[in-house]
Amino acid sequence: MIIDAHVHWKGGVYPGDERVGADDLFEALESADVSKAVVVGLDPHDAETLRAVTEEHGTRLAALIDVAPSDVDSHAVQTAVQYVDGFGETYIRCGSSQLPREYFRPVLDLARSTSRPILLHTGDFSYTAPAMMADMVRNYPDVVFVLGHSGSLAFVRDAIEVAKAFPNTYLETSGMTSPVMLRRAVDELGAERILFGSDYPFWHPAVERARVDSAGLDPAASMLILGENAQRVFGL
Amino acid sequence: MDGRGPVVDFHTYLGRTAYGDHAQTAEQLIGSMEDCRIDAAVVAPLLDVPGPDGEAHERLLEATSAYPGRLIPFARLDPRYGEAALRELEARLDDGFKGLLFNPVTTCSLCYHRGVLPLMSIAEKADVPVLIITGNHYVGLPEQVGFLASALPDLKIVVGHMGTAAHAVRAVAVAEQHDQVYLETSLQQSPYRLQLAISRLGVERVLFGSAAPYSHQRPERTKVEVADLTSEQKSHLLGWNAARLLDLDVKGGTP
Repeated sequence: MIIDAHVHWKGGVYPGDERVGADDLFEALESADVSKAVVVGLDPHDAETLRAVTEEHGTRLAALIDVAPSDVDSHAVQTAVQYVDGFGETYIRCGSSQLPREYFRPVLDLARSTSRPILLHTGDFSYTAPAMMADMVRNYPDVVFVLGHSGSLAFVRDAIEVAKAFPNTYLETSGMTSPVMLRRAVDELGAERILFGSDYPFWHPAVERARVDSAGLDPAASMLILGENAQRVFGL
Repeated sequence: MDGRGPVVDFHTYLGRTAYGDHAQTAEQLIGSMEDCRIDAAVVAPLLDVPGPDGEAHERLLEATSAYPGRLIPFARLDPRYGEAALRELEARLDDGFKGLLFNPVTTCSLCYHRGVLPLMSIAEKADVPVLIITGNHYVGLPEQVGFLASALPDLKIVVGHMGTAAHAVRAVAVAEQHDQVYLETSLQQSPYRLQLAISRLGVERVLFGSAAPYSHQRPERTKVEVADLTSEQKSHLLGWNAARLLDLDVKGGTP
């Protein structure tokens, strides 16, 4: 079973562009032979929508919700944790005067107490560089972290190093454009620590799937990356 | 459906990076091109000249000579070497190189800096395009390419990676302001932004590229295949535009 570990319910890549809902999503997933996907929140206000999505499409879609540190004790979040499979997509925006684990402590404690993984956005300027998350990952060894985009173009090498150092860390492939770096991640980290994702509707499952397929991996490694790992990490 | 006409990859490399993390031979590239139905590719060295491999251009010339019409050599130069870089570009253009690749990151140089303009001016006078790497780096922003376009209005500039995902919308905006600016598609992951670029710039200023071996030609082609573009728009993007810009004699000609 092919599982896309990183899609969104709605979104667009320029003003006026937006794809939303099941029809567009399933069509894109089918183009890459994906049979199940993890729908990842982009905003704390998405929680109610994602709950409805999993109620209607629970056999094909799982859900993560984005939780702001200030919202952890809210009724909406406390209700949502009963049905979601994890938390994310989290953008760390803590600024330079605070450690990420201090800024993000309420969500980290929630993930720990509910045994749910967290999918972090990584790869841009500022506080989404994987190396800056090492302190947080080190201090929460019993929480599973998925580094979305594997550091993307700029920080893929750092993402591999963080994952090597901390076994509670996984890489997600959307945006890992280099087949050489994907092979390196498999060689240095092991295929069991890498999850296929597309970041649809910003990027496309068929394109991201082609990146994995063109990396020259052995079939067992590909099977782990394309589905078996997501099944295990998210308890699908 | 890919469209019709030639397919030209405007952005690939041969050779080996300084630490060997990425490498590609002409034979490997040609094999990938055959697998992905790509007729021709622009190739540049994986290292700047002058630099760690003083023979990089010579080896590139040998490799491209073995595949005439299929591999199109671009010089890759580090302007910090001053006159040596200028003379090298002139010599390579005499050898038949068809353009210049400039990487602001590896050369630690802003593309519009007055120290870089003499190199760019040679390309402008020779009427060959310069492919500039852009993306998530302080010296790789699309607006900096816009400053260069203003300084040298007759220079044909190709924005490599069209800013990547982080800066693509602004790369399109820069190209809107400068008719001499083209966008190259590699490493910008979203097929939907190809639609944006063509809707804003017209069909003639977007060029297919892969940046192989930093990416693979197959997913880069898949990105074009799944984009919601007409067959004719894909034909321009995949090859006709590059053929016109490089004055290539390719199968199917140009419209």
